[in-house]
Order: sequence, then structure tokens, then C-alpha cells
Amino acid sequence: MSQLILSHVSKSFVSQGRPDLLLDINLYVEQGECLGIVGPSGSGKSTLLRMIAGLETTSQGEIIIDQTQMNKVPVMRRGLEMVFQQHALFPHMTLEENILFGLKHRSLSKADQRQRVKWVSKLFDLDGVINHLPMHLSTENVQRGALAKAIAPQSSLVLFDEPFTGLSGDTRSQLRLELNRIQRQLGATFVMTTHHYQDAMAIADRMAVLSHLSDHVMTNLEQVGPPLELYLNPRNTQVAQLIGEPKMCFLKGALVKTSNKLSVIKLVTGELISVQADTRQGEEGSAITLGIRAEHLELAKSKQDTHLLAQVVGIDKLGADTFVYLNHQGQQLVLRMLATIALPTVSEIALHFPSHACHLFNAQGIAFPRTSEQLYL
Amino acid sequence: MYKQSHMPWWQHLVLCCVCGVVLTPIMLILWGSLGAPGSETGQWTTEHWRLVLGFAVQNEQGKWIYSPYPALTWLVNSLKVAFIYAILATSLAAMAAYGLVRKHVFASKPIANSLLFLQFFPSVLALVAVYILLRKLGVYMPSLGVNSHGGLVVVYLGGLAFFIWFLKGQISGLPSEYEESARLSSARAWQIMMHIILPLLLPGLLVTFLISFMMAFGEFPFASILLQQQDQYTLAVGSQLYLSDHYYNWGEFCAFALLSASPAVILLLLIQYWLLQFSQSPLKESGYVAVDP
Repeated sequence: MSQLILSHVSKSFVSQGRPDLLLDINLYVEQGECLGIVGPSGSGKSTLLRMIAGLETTSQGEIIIDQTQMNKVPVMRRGLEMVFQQHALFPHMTLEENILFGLKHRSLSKADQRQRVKWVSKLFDLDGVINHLPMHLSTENVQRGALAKAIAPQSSLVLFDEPFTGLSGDTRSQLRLELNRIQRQLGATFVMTTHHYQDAMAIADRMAVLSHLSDHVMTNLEQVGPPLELYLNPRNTQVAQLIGEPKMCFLKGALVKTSNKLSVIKLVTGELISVQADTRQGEEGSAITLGIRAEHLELAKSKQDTHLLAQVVGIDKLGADTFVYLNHQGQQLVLRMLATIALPTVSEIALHFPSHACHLFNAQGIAFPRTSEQLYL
Repeated sequence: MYKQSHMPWWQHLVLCCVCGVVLTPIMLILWGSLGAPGSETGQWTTEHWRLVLGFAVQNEQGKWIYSPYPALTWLVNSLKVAFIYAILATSLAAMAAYGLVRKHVFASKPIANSLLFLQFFPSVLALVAVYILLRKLGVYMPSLGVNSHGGLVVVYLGGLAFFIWFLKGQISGLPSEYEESARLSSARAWQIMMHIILPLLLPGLLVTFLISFMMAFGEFPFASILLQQQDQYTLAVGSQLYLSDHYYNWGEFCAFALLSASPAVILLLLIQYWLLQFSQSPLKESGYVAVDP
């Protein structure tokens, strides 16, 4: 059992003439919790993990594992395991030797080591390939092997740097489920980075969203919370764009009527849309961004329902879903429909923006609180 | 009907020609060493080989004579110098290269570049200076002075820059994740070196060993100046005695040449075998590595 606290952690590369990467990161990871760190490439996810592992120095702040300040503790004495995104297995050793190498240097008897190898190879379904060199394994088995190597020592804190890269669809979700099950079983604390929000959504208890560090911000940790919370109530446009597939669409407009329950905005193209959001913090007439996800946009059922008309740019038929890409006077929109619904044959379709499903962001990109109850059901 | 060969006839022809071109000089030297018909005596004989290998030979007057030159001693000297140098050069260059790549040495880039720059000047330019230095050094440490194999090895070690650069490339091609991953597994520094770095670097080390061995084995200018007694000579220095102004002893010279080429050939074959064994060893990024989408 391990508890991890990051307190005001920063990483700056001033001495190397590179821009800073991480600023004032505060995170608390409960014992036995799985935290998913999500962010675009280059936002410092891996660096944060490497700082926790002790492979990078911490410019500022404290890293505390189980009430012990770890900043100056060398890598081998931090008692954690890490799975690297690449090169996680030694290429000149078989899978078994790889796993054994991770066990050899801990106080375990030879019999115990064998036992552990047996256990993880069963756990990750590697029995048939345990004596192979990594180069003779499939991508999936390399990834499984890397996970097995990290799990075998039964560390109470395990860090995963993009553990599912290179895996596709089915194997990805299967491995996610397995990892989730193993985590529950061991009660270990997992910290995982990924730039596929789905990975984190699927197995993390909480998610932390990092963004590129820009000037004049206090921190580049955008939001921390349970996955669904981040999906439903993104704190700003960056989080909103990062979580959800396809990305949330934005329309520019101005606030017409502020309210604590149902606000009205006017798009730059002239249409009025009411949104269930608390905009008392905003000023009437101020610039505003309306956000809506593809899965929440609807086809208008009648003339009264119609909020705006948009041109069809393209249609993606993906089997279960059909995505319709739309253009509304230079602004992009995506509409998700069930494939069973007949496709619009016209080049212009009428759209309805359900008031409970829209998000509102102010000019700085900060979200107004949503007041709809419907999405929480 | 027998199965047709996959290679067209002209490829066989080209390969035969290449073999012919490569092997002809060696065959001629072999004939020369065996006193081929057409030479002075016109007889097949093994007496050149016997002389070179240190056996006595009966001359026309029936007297038993020995070769005036201790060829086998020279061979041993050469092997000794080359092996000691190759081992020292490989280990020192590997350590220096590792330090330059992985440890955050102050001004590691200028150091590496100046090493390469110094290598542009032929080391023979410093011959006189080196001689004087070694003579002074020999006063205090005779085993490193003029006319000692130790001194010769020390002088050769001055030319490490090439090997440092070669191994530097090899080491920086090695992902640092391997070492970090081993550190996370609580392995100690020497365990990381023995179990991770050395096995992964082995092909590069073998090549360094081979090249440095050959270099020291065949080096002439320094050896000819620094070694002054016949029993200290290396093969390269000794060989010139067979072809002096007074008489050309072609037969013995040919036998001697073949003898001195043999260790290098044997070593090359051995290392080639090892290299093939390790050629599957993944120095390069192998295909399994997941690519960031």
C-alpha cells in the first residue's frame, strides 16, 4: 500500500535553455487508487512519472511517498516499479530472464522468484512465450511482458508510461480490463499516463489532465477528478477538447441573458440558443464559447426545434455510429447518429442544441457551472 | 536432372575472378616460402619454414645453421603488445565513451570534439618528442621507457580518440531506458554494467578489440624507433631485417610474412564468428518497439 503526494511540484529546464515543462502540480493519490494522467504529447506526463520514479530531478516542490519525502532518495530505494513506453524489456534476455532480473535484486529466495514468474506468466497469459526473446514476440505480448515484469515484484506503487501504446482495439481493451482486475486484486497504487483518454476513463479511479504550459498561468494541471466528472463538467476548453471522441465542437457567440439556471446566448451567426448553465459570473454582451459534443447534438424534429442550419461536409459510417461532419459558416460541427437512422440526403440539415447538453465557456475558456440534472442520471 | 543453381553463371565467374585476384598474391608468397621452382635453387624445400620456426638446417657444406633472427620471439612480442594494447584500449575507450555520453561531464562536447581534432594530426609527427619523453620516463620506470614493450603500449594508448568516438556512437545508440529500468529494479552499478550494458555493447566492443589489435600488431614507425634490441622487436620491425641492403632472403621473408599474418587471420575469423552470433542481438531498435501513434 502506498500513498503518493505531489506538492507544488515543478520542472524547469532553464539551465538547458528549454522552456519549463511542469508548474505547480499538486496531486494526492490514495492508497490502492489508480490515477490516470492525460494530456497532449509534450505536456510533461512522462517527465512527471520520471520525477516520481526519481529518474529526473524535481526543480521545485516535494514528492512524498508514504509520508517520506523522496526528493533526494535514489531510484532503487523508492520501492516502486515503472513500465516504460518503449524498451521496457531487455532485448538480450528472454521474457523469463527479464522478469527474473526485476526480482533478483530484492530479498526473495530462488523458489519465491520462480513462484512469482509462474504467477505473472499465468496472470498475463504468457506461458507459451516465456522463453522467447522480446524481438520474437508480438507487440501485444511485449506489452504484456512489460506489464508482467512490473507487476512481478508486487511493489505497492507502480508507474505506467503509456502502457497500451501500439495496441489496437480489442487487445487494448482486454489488457485494460486485466490490468484493472490485477490492481484491485493487489491493492497497489497505480499511476498511469496516456494520451488516449479512453484508457484512463476505463481503468482510472481519478484522472488528472495536463496541458502545455503557457505563459501567465499558475499551473498546467488543468483538472483532477473522477473520469465521468471530467467528461460531464470539464473545467475549461482544454479539458473539454481532450476528453471525448470526436473532440467537442465550439461555436463563438455572445451572452445575451445571464441567469442562474437557463442562460441565453447569441451566436456570431445570429442564432439564439438557451443553455442550462449558471452565468451570473459573466456579463451580458460578453464573448462566450458554446461547446457541444457530437453525441449530444440532435437533428431538429420540427421547425420550432431548429437552432441552426449546417452544410454537410462529409459522412463517416462506422457501423454502429455514423458521424456527420458539418460546416456552419466556417465553424465545424460533428453530429453522431445511430446508424439505424436514415442518413440525411440533403446537403443542409437542421440542428437542435439540447439546452441540458451544451457547455458554456467564457472568453478565457473557463467553464460556467452547468445546472442540468439530466446528465448525472 | 539435377536442380539448377540459383546463381546465374556470370555471378560464379565474377566471384571466381575476385577470389583469384585476392588469393594470387598469397599463393605466390606461399610458393616463395616453399622455394618454388624458378627461384635460386629451383627446388621445393621446407628449409625456409624450418629456419623461421627456429629449427636448424644443414647447408651445402653439411654444417647445421640456425636463422640469425629470432622470428618466434618477435611473434610472441607482437602478440603480447597487441593483446595488452587491445584489452587496455577497449576497456579505456569504453569507459571514456560511457562517461562522455551518459555522465554529465563538464564540457563533454568540447572534450569529445578536441579528441577528434587531435586525431587529424598523424601521430608520427610527435615521434621525436615521444622518444625523448620515454627516455626520461625510463630513468624512473624502466618498464615504461625506451626499448620496453610497456612503453610502446603507453605510446599506442595515446591514439584512443578513434575508438572513443566509435564507442560513443554505439553507446548513444543504446536507449537509456535499459539502464533506468535496471536501476528501478534495484540493480547495483556493476550489475547494470555486467548484465545490461556489456552484453548490449558486445558487438561494438569486439570490433574495437579487433581493430586495436590489428593496429598494434602491424604498427611500424613507433616500434622501429622505440625498440632497439633484436629480442625486443615486433614482427613489423623484424621483417625488414630479412631484406637488408646486403642480401634479399626472399624465401625466409615469405615464410615469415605468412607466419606473421596468421594470428590476425585467426582472430578475425573468431571475431567474425562471434559477431554473427550476436548479429541478432538488437543493438538497433528492433521492430517490436511500439510507435507512438
